[in-house]
Amino acid sequence: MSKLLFVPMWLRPQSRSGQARLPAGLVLPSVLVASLLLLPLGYLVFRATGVEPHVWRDLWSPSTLRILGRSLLLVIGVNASVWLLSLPLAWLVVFSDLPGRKLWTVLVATPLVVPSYIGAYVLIAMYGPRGLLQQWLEPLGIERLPSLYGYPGALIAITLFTYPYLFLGLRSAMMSLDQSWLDAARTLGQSGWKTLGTLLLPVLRPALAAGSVLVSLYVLSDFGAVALLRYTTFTSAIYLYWQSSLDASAAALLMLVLVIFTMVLMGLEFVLRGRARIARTHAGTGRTVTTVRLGRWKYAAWLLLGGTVFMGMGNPIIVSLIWLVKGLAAGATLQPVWQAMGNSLLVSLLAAVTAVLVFAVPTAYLAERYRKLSARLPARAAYIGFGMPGIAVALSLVFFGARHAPWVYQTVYLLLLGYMVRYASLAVGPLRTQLSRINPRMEEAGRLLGFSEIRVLWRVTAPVARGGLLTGGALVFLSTMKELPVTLLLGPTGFNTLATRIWSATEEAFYARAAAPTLILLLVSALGIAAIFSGEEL
Amino acid sequence: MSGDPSDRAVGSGADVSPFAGFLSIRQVRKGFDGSSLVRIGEFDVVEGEVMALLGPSGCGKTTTLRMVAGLSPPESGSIAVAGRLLDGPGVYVPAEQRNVGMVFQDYALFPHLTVEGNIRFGLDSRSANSASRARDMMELTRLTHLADRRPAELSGGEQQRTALARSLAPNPHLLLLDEPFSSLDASLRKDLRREVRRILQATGVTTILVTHDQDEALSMCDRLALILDGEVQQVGTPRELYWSPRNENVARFIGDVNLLPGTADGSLVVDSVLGRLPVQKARTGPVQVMLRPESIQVSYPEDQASVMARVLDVEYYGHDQVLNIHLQSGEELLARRDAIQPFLPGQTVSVRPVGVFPVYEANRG
Repeated sequence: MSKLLFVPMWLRPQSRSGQARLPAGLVLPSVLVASLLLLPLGYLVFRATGVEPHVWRDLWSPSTLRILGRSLLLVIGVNASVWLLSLPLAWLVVFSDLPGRKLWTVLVATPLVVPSYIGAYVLIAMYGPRGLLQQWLEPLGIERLPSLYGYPGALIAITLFTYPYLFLGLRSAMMSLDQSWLDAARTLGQSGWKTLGTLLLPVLRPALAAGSVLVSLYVLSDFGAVALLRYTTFTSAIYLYWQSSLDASAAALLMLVLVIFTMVLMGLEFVLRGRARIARTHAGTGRTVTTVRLGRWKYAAWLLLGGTVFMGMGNPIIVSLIWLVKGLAAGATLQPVWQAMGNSLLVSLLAAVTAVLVFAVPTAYLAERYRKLSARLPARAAYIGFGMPGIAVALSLVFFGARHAPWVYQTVYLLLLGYMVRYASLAVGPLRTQLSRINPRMEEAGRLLGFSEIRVLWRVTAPVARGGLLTGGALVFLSTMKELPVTLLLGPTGFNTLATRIWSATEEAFYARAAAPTLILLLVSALGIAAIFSGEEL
Repeated sequence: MSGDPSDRAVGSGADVSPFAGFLSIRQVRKGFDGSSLVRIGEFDVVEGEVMALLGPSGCGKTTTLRMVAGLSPPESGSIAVAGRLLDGPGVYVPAEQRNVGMVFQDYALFPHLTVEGNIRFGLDSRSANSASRARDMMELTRLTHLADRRPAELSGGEQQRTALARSLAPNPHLLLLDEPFSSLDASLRKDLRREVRRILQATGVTTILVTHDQDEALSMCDRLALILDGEVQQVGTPRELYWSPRNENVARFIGDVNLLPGTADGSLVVDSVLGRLPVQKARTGPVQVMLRPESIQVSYPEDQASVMARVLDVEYYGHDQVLNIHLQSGEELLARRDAIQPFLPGQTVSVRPVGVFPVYEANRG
C-alpha cells in the first residue's frame, strides 16, 4: 500500500478557505523577472529623490518649460495630422468602391514596420538640404529646398510612421458598422451629415480615443526621429543632457517627468482599450455596408492612397536602394553589415527566447489560471516597462550599472535586461490570449495522470499554446531588431547592430552606409509581421 | 477553523480504521463563492463497484468529484482512498500523487498528441511496458485502428473511449467520470453506455460516475447516491432508490410520482381513496403514500371490486404508455401500462394499486 504523504499547510495548493495558492515554481521566475523589469523606474524615482534642491528649481526653469511646450506642441500637431490622414484613408478602404481595397489596406498599414529613425533619415536624405530631390532639381537651377529640420520635419516623420495605428483602429470600427443602422437612419429621414454625426461618430469615438493615446505615447517616447531632425523634446533633451554633462540626477528628474506623462497615457490606453473591446462586440452579422461610388473623386483617392504609401514605404526603399547602389559603386564593402546583422539577430533571438521562456510562460499562466490580483501583478509590471520611453529605460540602466553594478555595465546582459524591460510585455499578451482559449481541464487531466502543475505546464500547456509562444517571441524579436536608444546606450563598446549602424551613419550623413542595414531591417520586419498576421488568421 | 468536525471523524490520529469503504468521505464541507455549499457527513464506496452521484446541476456533485480528485480540496473533513488518507486535518495529497483517474465532461484530450500518445501520457513513456500497456488499453477500448489519429479527427464516442483509456492506463485506484455522456448525441448514448459499462466491468475498477440523467444512473451503476442542495439524500441500489425513496424529494427526482393522502394508525397499513394500502413504515396521523405509475394497475372491463376512474389522457411511447386518470374522489394519477391494450380518453377503467409503498408524513399543511 502506498505511503501516507503529509504536506505542510503552507505548501498546500489551496488554503483551508479553498482559495487557490500560487505555485512557487512559477511565482519565483515571474516575480524575479518582474522586479528586474521595474528596476529602471524604481531607480529613476530613487535618483530623483536624491537631487540637489536647485535641480527642483531647474524643473521650472524656462528651458525645461520650453521642452515641455515643444513636446506638447508635437503631440498636438501629430495627432491633428494623423486624424486628417487616417480618417479619409480608413473611409476609402471600407466604404468606397475603389478597386483593390484589401491590397490598399495592407499597403497603407505597412509603414508600421518602419522605425522612426529610419523614417527620419530617409526624409532628410530625400528632401533635406543636399538631399536626392535637391540634387535632381539642381539642373533646373533650384539650389535650396525649404529646411526640413525642426518642427515640420519631426511632424511629417512621426505622422508617417504612426498614422497606421489610428488607421487600423478606425478601419475595424467602421467595418463593425451595421448597414441596417445606416439604412434605418436614412428611412427615418436623416440626411447624410446627420447620419454621420449620430451614427458614425459614436462608433468611431473609442477607436479615435485609443488611437490618439497610442500616437501621443509614441510621440513622447520617440527618440530617433526628433534627435535626427533636431527638434528638442523630452527625449532628445535628455540625450543631450546626458551627452554634455554627466549630472545624472538632473537627467533622472527630466526622465521622471517624461515617465509620469507616459504612465498617465498608458493608464488612459488601458482604460480605453477595455471600452473599445466592448464597443466592438457590436460587430454583428450584417457586415456588408454598401459602397459609396467615388466617380471622378477616385483620382483624388488614388492620389491620397498612393501618396501616403509612397511617403511611408516607397521613400525608405527608394532612398536605401539608390544609396546602396551609389555606395557599392564607390567600392563600399558589405562586410561590417553582415557582422552587425549577426549581432542584431543574436541579441534579438536571445531577448525573444528569454522573454518567452523565462518570463511570459509563467507570467501568462499565473495571470490566466489564477485570476486574482496578486497573480496578475507580474504581467502589470511588464506593462509598465513597456510604457517607459526607451531613452529613459536605457539611461536609467546606464546610471544604475555604472554606479552600482559595474560587473554587468557594458555587457550583453544589461543590454538584454533593457530589451526585456521594454518588450517582455509583448510576449505575455498573445500567450494570455492563447491560454484563455485552452481548456484548464486539460491541465487537470495531466495532473491526474501523475505530473506536477509545472511539468504539466511544459508538457501540455506550452506545446498546445505554441502559436502564442511564437507570436509573442516574434513580436519581441522584431521590436528588439528595430530598437535604438537601449542598444545605443547599453551595448558594449564596439558592439554594432543594424540599428546602431544606421544611427551612426545617418548622424554623420553617410547615407550609403545606412542603406544596406535599412533594407535588411525593413525586409525582416515586413516578413515577420506578415508571418504573425498569417499565423493569426488560422 | 479549529472546531473542525473532521477531527471527530478521524479520531485522534491519522488512523485509517474509521474508513469503512474503499473510498470514504467523512464530514467534508466546501462552500465555494458562498453560493453553493457541499456538506457530506458520511459516504462510502465499496471496492469494485460503480457508484453514481445523481443530482440536478449545481447540486454539488461535480464539486464532490473534484474534491476526491484533489483538484479542489475541501475546507474541512477527510477523504481516504484504499486506506490512504488523502485529505484531512494537516494532510493534503496533491492530485498528481493520488492515483485517481478522471474522465472529464469534455474529455480534455491533449490535442497535440495522438490517441496512443494520450494513452501513454500517464505511463512512463520510456519503458517497454508502457507500449504494451497502451496497446492493451487500445484493444480494450477498440481504438487500435485509430492509434495515430489526433483527437480532432475522432468522433465524440472515440474521444470518450480515448479519455477512458487514458485515465485507466496507469491502473488507478479509483476512476471518476464527470457527466461522460452529456456531450454526446442522444441517439448514441445507449450504445455508448453499454460500451463503457463493458470496459468498466472488464477492468473491475472502482468507479464514481457523476450525472444528472437518472436513466444513466439507474442503468449503469451498482449503487447510486442522490445529492440535492449539496447533501447526500440517500445511497442505495437503483431498485432501492426507485421503490423506497427516503423522502419526497428523492422520490420526485427519480421517476414519476403519485402522492396520495391517507391516514395512518401506527400499523403498516394506511387508509386512502384507493382503499387500505400496505406501506413500508409504520406512522400515525395524516400521511402521503407514494405510488409509482408502474404500481397502479389499470384495466377494463370494469372490475367491481376495485376503484373506478376515468382516462383523461394517454401518452403512448411504443414500449409502454402512461395514462393520466381521474379518480371519482377527485385525485389525478399517472399509471403506466404495457403498450398492447389500447386506451382512449374518456374511457372508464378500474384501478388497483399493487405493492408495498413508501409513506411520508403529510407536510406543510
